[in-house]
Amino acid sequence: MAEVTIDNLTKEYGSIVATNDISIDIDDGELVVLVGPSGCGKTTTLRSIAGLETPTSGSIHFGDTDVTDRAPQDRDISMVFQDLALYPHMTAAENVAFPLHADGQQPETTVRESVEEVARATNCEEFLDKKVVDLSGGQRQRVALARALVRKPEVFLMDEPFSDLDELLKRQLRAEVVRIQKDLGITMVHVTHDQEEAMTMGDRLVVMNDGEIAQMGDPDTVFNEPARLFVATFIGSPQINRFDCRIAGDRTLTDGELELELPADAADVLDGATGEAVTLCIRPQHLSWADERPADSLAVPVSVNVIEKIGTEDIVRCRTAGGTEITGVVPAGALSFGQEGYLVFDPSQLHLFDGHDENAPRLN
Amino acid sequence: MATTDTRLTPALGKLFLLIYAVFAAFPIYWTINTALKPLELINTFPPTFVPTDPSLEAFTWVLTNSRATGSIIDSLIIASGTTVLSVLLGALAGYGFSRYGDDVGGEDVAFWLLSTRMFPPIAVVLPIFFIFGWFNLQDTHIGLILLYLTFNLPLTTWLMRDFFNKIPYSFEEAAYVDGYSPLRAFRKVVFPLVRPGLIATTMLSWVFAWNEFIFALIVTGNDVNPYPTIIPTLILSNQILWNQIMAMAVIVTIPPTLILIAFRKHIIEGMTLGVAEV
Repeated sequence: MAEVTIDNLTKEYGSIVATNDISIDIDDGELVVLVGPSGCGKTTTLRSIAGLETPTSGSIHFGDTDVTDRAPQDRDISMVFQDLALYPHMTAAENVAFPLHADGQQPETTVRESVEEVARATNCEEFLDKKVVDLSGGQRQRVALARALVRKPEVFLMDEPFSDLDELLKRQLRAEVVRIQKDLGITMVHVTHDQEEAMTMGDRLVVMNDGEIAQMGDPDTVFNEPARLFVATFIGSPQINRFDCRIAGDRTLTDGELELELPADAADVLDGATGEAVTLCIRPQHLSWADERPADSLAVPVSVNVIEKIGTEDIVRCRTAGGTEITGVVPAGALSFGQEGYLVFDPSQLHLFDGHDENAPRLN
Repeated sequence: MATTDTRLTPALGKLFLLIYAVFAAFPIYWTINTALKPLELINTFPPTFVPTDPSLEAFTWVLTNSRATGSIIDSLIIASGTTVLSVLLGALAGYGFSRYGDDVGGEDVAFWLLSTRMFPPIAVVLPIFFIFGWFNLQDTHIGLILLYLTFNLPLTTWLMRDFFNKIPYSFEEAAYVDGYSPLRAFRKVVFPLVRPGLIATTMLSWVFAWNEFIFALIVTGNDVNPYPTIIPTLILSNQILWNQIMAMAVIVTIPPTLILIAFRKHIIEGMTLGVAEV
């Protein structure tokens, strides 16, 4: 196992910049998740670590070794591909054993032992002798994992391998991958567009957008203190509420319809804003319902428009008189359609950003 | 009513297939039937459907006459030479176009390759005759092999490109990541998967070269005589040697039939590659 150091990685395809000056340090045994919308450069970064892309500039080190110009076969990595890339002309066992035959040196008994050992760890002993085409989606995932793990590589890479699975299987396999990764102390880089998957799996998240790193940090930090407006809107489900405002007074923001009166400590940071434009965000979980306007707190009058039941709680999509949509999370069954009242903002959970574009930095 | 229908439909289907099978097989039967008749019985009316006194005379002629055997050997040399070259080059080119084709035309490559097959070959027969004269390629094996190569190579390239396209590039990348060199990755992963396609392509290429008539007639004639050019010589001014023609036809059908039987599993797989698999 090794730490991975990416320095100023830039990859251009003609005039298109896929990754722009990316630097990431990954510790030995750490699980880092690259997350972002499609086309954000996360897969390019992963493929550069694998050696499947040659960076335009920048360098990649495994430990102290510079691997920037090494071919993939000389890097001691393994990778689970998005389409898994299992070979249909081989059985599951032959697929798992495939990396061990790369140098043609391993005796057959050792290969057999290694395959059985990794099959136990990934729960795919039962279908080792089946052809890949006869396996279910979840079984294929396990075989692909086993094939990637069998050689005990320096760095383990995963390119959205769970994207085609149903929700239940996805959760199961995520948990299993994290367990195996912790058990074996593997350095792992996982790529996904699914922010929930990123939050549940990663020791550390690298949120990417437009070829750049928007924020790097542990899941709690990324969730609770998004560094840029993009991160705030991308991470978290249901999506964060966003108000594109202008500064209308010492403590007051307006988005054209609503007058939002900030608490004193939040208002202080407005001094740091470069212009008039400020974006206020608050997560649905940090809004609460009140039938009467509460005194001395930031609240918005709304009526309930849509109620989505998720079992333990209801997601309520509300609407102001002027048509602004605001989403809140309330206890199950608390509200009914059309009900009128106030959504009260938790003053300690406000996120303020300097501007309206997605790169706007955090103010508070 | 409904139950009658469901029982009747498969029976009707089988009847239709039977009629079609008879329709398709009859010319083959008639070829064999004619080959076994003595010449004087061939034009009798009504024709005899079962030869009363079958004679192997015509087959003996094909297998012992030096012109006939020589022509079959010539055809074997030319068809095999063409096939080896066109499949080898076509597979390499097809792989290149499949994996790196975006830099040289992308999807237009497929049309460009195929468009060479739309050109009527007869239009270039005369120029080819003169060009082959200048380069002393007339009446040689290599001349006809090169000529057939120009027809076959676009087809084999196009087919192989398609077969390679059906093998995801990630299969090779996965092998690289697992420590395989590009050559070993090709041998262990790509080749086994493309083999049915390769066999189907070989078959098509071989059959074209084996059966081609017009160009063989124009550019050969003395030293080299592919069998299709021998058959017309059996039409004499005063009579047509139908039994020898038919015996020749039966014998030259044997090699492609054997190939087809030997590789039938692969050929069907090749024709349906990517449809039935994964």
